[in-house]
Order: sequence, then structure tokens, then C-alpha cells
Amino acid sequence: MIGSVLPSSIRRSRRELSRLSGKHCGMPIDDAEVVQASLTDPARFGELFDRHHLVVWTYLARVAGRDLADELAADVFVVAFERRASFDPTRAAFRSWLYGIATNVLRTRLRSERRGRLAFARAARQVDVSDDPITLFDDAEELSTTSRAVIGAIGALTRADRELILLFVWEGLSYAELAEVLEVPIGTVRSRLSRVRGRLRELLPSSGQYVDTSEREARP
Amino acid sequence: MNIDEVVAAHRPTPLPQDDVVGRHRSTLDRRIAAESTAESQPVRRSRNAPPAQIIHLDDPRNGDRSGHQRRSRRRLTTVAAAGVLVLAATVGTLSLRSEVDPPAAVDTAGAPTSTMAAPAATAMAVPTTSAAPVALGADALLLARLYTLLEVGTRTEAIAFFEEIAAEEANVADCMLAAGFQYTVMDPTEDVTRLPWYSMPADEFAARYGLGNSGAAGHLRLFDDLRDPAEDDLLNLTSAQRQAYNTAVGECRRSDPNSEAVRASNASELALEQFRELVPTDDRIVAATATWSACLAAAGFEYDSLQEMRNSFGTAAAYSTSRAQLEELFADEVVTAIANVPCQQVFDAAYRDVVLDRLGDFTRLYDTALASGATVDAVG
Repeated sequence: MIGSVLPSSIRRSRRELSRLSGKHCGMPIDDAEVVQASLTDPARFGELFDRHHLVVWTYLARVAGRDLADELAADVFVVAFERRASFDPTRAAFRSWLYGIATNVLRTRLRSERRGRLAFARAARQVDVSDDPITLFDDAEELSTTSRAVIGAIGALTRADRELILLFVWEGLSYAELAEVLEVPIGTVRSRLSRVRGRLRELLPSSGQYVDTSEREARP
Repeated sequence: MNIDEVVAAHRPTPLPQDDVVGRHRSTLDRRIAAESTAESQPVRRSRNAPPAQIIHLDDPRNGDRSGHQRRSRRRLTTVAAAGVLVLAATVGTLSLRSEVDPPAAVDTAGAPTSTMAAPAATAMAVPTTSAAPVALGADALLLARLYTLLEVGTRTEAIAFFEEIAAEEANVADCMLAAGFQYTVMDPTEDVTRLPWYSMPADEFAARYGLGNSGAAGHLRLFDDLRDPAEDDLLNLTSAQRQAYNTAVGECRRSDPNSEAVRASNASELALEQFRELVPTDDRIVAATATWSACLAAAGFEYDSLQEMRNSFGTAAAYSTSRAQLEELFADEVVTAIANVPCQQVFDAAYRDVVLDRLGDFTRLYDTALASGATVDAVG
């Protein structure tokens, strides 16, 4: 073995080079590896922020509006950092795990407000429209009637239903990932999605612009 | 196109502002730096050490929890339980209140913190049919309002408070009907019956819901069946209809932003927030907090304040990433909450006394806010 006859300092360099060539010199490091590395070098977690912050912020904005996304996206990463030791890459991709944390952080925030609201009945009952998805379009004024109808229908869903359909359709999660993120059985994911689709069909004008093949073509 | 494709075709792609990204990165970096610093320091466990995840020092499963989240807590068993029972027997009749939410936890009860609708604040307003400011001479009603808003109210006081709201809401409902919207007003007694913190004895509530909605129980969705039945009014509205609904509610509630009713509402809202800050600084509350802390310590749980106790579980619940973790946490929370019942009853009694004694302070705060023309924006 050539390595065995090299001076120890060179062997060390070769080891380091080997590590570098596999990780930092071209080959991408997957999220799970960064999470693992951050357990001993916490600063490495910043790389995951750089990779996923936009995705997390955008998801929160789509589900709950820009204001809450601005307020909560940082919390998602702080929580993820705190809980990184419990991340299990065999159960979910890191991004899916982040979606789950984002969903929990959002619900926690809304729940803390709801606590006060419940205690005071309908004293201030008013619909929150700050999360109307139409506000996410910079060119909302120019949206077509059809687009407005679709966006309006999404905005009219309950927040839980909106989370589900947007994670599936806009964020591209699979049934299995949805089950992991939302902590429900996969069968529940299917039935809830079916119900949400039905609700959307009710809300959308029957213009004949779509046919109902969603159930047949659904992702596994 | 199927329905999924229709939705997918209208996917917005918003972008955060640059300063938001930088701010978020700074937040994370501070947290990372805190852990890096902590790891380079000797492990220090202090009663005041932040933050707040509860662990059992005698539980081998704690090995997977981050060091910075550790706080000491002793789980004593039969001796402490006996102490709690003695204390419970001593103070069991002090309060009719069945809710266990701490009065000191003022973060959510009345102050809107985002674009969500303000919860309690507008309830402090006088009825819209009256031009008079809050009837400060009616001490009993004012006290009922304050006690309920400060979360130390009894069931009877809550009903009185809700009746007042219902009277206001009936006017709003008429106005909304004229605007073409259904607006259901519920019977106040039904409201109180529906909400378990009023309808259940405190110990039963603690056993079933722990410390309440902001702890693990909320995450486990134990309160989801408490949805306001009147929310059904809103279920079938489109986004545009919701906007119109909101506009109508606003117009029905406060058609004239300069009216005395609105000014009184704003003033009472601001006064309440200031009063919330004032009461805990009272020497008697400081002493009551120490007594409460000692009471809970005797049962084996070390916290310096009710808020610290609640926050510790709230934080841990928010950090939980699985139902199994939540359920484990909730089991701890229930044990703590049950031990807390007699301790908090003593504290609440002291709190009520201080509120009663300092009612004049509230009226002065209200008068000052009214004279200064407080606006909703000044609140919170």
C-alpha cells in the first residue's frame, strides 16, 4: 500500500484531501450530511438556511400570507436547529421535515391567538383575509378572471385544507410525505385530498376548463 | 386539466424582501452562536437558565435532548403529593374559577400581535348603542370584565361579561343582516358551558387539558372541538365575500371612528394593556408569586413564575416534531398542572384582591388614555 510508506504528515494530508475531494470540491453534500455535521459544528446549519429559506418562506406566505411568513420563517429554522438531532433521514427528506416544522410553528402561532379568541367568544369575530393568496401576486391587478376564481377558491378553504392542497400541488409533496408532515395516516391524506378537491370544484365556476381526473392521476 | 393542474397553474411565486432574509439569517446565527458558546463553557444548570424544555433528570431518555434545553426539575412522588393534597384541602374553596391559565401570561389574551382580529380588546368597549364611556361607577360589572379579561374570572363573572358582549353583538348582527350577512350571536351561558376552563372544576381541567391551549394540549388538538359554532357563518364565503364581510363588520362595529364609543373602546383597550403590566409589579403579587413558586416546589416542580411554567411547556410543545414527543410532554404537563391547581388558586385569590384594590389605577389609566385620544394602533 502506497499510503503506508508515506510520512504521517502526508498521510494526514491525503486523508484531508480525500475528504475534501468528496465533499467540498465538487460533489454536493446532501442535507442529511450537513445536519449530521452540524451536531459537532453548529455553524454548518447555516448552509441549510441558505438552501431552504426561500422554500420555507414561500410556503408560509402561500398558506398564511407574507406577514406571517416574515414573522415565522426564522422560527422554523431555529426550531429545526434545536431539533436537528431528532431528524431521521430514513423517514423524510430534510425539506419535508422543514415543511412539518413550518406547519407546526404556524399552527402554534395561530393557536396562541385562538386561545384568546375562544375565551372571548365572538367579541371580535372577523375573518382574517391577510392570507388571501391573491395578495401574493405582484401583478394581481392583471390577473385574469379565471385566475382570480382559482385563487379565490383556494383562499376560501379552511387553513388546514389549504395546507394540504398547497403542500401537494404547489410544493410537490407525495402522499407519503404529506402523511409524515401532517402526522396523519396516508389513507387520511387521500380522503382529505379528495374532500378538498370536491370543495374546490364547488367553489370554482363550472366553466368546463377542467375535467376531474385528479383522483386517477394522483401521485403515489 | 384536472383540478390539481388548475390549481398548480395558478401558483404564486412571492419573494421575501432582502432585509427579511438577512434578519432571519441573523436570528438563526444568534441561536447557533449561543449553542457554540454554551458548548465551549462548562455545563451550568441554573434555575434561571434559559430556555425551557423540561426533562426528568432521572430519565435515561434525556440523553437525546440538547444540553441548552435542560432545566432541573425534580419529580417527587408520594411525599410531595401528600403535601399538595394538604394544601389543596386548605385552599380548595378560595376560588370558584375553574380555568388554570395563569393571569400573568398576558401575551395572547388581549393583545393582537398580527393582522389577526383583535380578541378581547374590543370587548372592553361600551355597547355601540351608548354614547357614554365605560361605566366606571359600576364597579361590579367593571370587575367582572377585568377579572375575565385577566383570566382570573369566575364562571358567574364570565357570564356577566359575555352577556355584555352578546348585547353589543346583537346590534352588530342586526346591522350585518341589513348588509346581507348572517351573523350568529350565541347565548352567553352556552358560551361559558362550551369553554372547559369555565365549565370544569380546575383539577378536572388540569387532568384533561394540562395547562391549557398554549401547552401540548393545543398541539394535540384537544381543543379543536371548541370551534365557535358561529364560524359556520363564514364557511361558505368566497375570498371576495370574506372581504366584504370584514368591511361590513367594521362598519357595523365602529361606523364612526371618532365616535365616543370607539374612543372609549380604544381607551379601555390601552388601559387594560397598561394595567396588565402594572399589576405584576405590585408587592403583593411579587410575594404571591414567591408563595406560588414555593408551593409548586414542595410538589417537586421548580419554576419562578407562572409564566415561566407555561412558557416552558409551550416552547417544548412547539419544538416537538412528533405526536409521540407531544404525548410524552403532555403527560409531564398534566402532572405539573394537577400539582399547580391548589398553588394557583392561592395566587389567583391574591391577584383578584390586588385588582380590586387597584381598580382606581385602571380608571386613571382609562381616563388618561381617553384624554390622549388613544387609537387602536397604540395598543399592543
